[in-house]
Amino acid sequence: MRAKWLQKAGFVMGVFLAIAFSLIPFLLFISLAFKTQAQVTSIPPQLWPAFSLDFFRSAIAHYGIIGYLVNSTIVAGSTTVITIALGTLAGLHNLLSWGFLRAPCSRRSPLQAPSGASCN
Amino acid sequence: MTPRDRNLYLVMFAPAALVLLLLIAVPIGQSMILSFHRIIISLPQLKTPFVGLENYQELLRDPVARHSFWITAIFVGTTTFFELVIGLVLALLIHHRFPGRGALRACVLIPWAIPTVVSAQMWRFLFNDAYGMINYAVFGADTIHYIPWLALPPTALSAIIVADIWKTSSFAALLIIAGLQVIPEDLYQAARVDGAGTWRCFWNITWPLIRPALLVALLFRTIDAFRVFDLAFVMTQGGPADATNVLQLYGYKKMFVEGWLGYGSAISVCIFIIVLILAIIYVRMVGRRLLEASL
Repeated sequence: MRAKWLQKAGFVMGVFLAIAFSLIPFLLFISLAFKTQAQVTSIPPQLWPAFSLDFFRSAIAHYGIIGYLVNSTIVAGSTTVITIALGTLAGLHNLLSWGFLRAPCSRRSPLQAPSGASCN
Repeated sequence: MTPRDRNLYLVMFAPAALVLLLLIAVPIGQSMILSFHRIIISLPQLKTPFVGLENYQELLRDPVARHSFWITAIFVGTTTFFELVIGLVLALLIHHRFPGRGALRACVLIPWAIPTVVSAQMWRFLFNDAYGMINYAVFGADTIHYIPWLALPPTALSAIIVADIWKTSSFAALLIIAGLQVIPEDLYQAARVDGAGTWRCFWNITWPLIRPALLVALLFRTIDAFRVFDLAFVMTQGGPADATNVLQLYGYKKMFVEGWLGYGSAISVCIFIIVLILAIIYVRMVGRRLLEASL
């Protein structure tokens, strides 16, 4: 009974540590975006942000972040479409070399087809 | 194969082969050709004579290159070890069924989803000697004792290692989870019927059956860690005193900062050869096992 309770407690602690490990550095960094300039450069650092949107306004108005987002979308979209198209063609080429693009062979397992074999 | 099939075969394979040729084979070939010449951009009057293996011989004698290789080896060894251990723990936690498992998975994947450059900037700020949260977490308001983590050689390399471990442990966890999910549940049920506890189940069932997945994670991470560049470039620029001057960064500096194109290319070719050897080992050792497992 005690062993089971300890196991459960250990598991719960493990989950919290995993969340802390993954999220705490990220949240600390995200909080910078919501701080004021004075808070960012204060010594000692301030943990809690003022929830200011000054940096977001500055990013949009002065640094043209919308343009960068559009560029990133174009690059990500194009590379995804091109790589999927090329990968699909190459994958179909593999199936062809195994003989799957000929007449269907219902009894053969897809993983057992030797190279160049055919059901016909 | 009929002639029609052969044409269809070529039409399907040709686009991917062309892309591979243009984007991979041509740059690698160009680098190799450059590595056999002495090319110093700031001294065009010296022209670009063919020097054979002289760049490689110089590379073997270069103490900075040897130092960079050892820094890279320390980085690879340390990060790979901790990433596999933390990745295994994360994978075992995520593999359990419990309420909120999906949320835990999402949290664990956040570090991996962040671009490496952004992650490097993030850790650079966290390790800042004046504004960094790590000093605040350790020393509180006692600013006199704040440590300049990125300005001291031992702590600078450790900082980069911590950043890489944080970023990539979740990727290792993803690879290991794939291995955990193919272990039949019946084995654990049978073990529990025989009275095996959690540790016995892990040591006698999980550990032996998860070794192929660990090997895949180990090789992937070793190859990736060897190619580290952006973390060192953004966080420390290779300093202080070359303490974080990894091989890839040294090659970059030689090529683009000092203008020694031939010598920098020789460094890149050496990195390519090392990574190629590791990839061949991966394909040989793991590829056959994965194919057997799928059959």
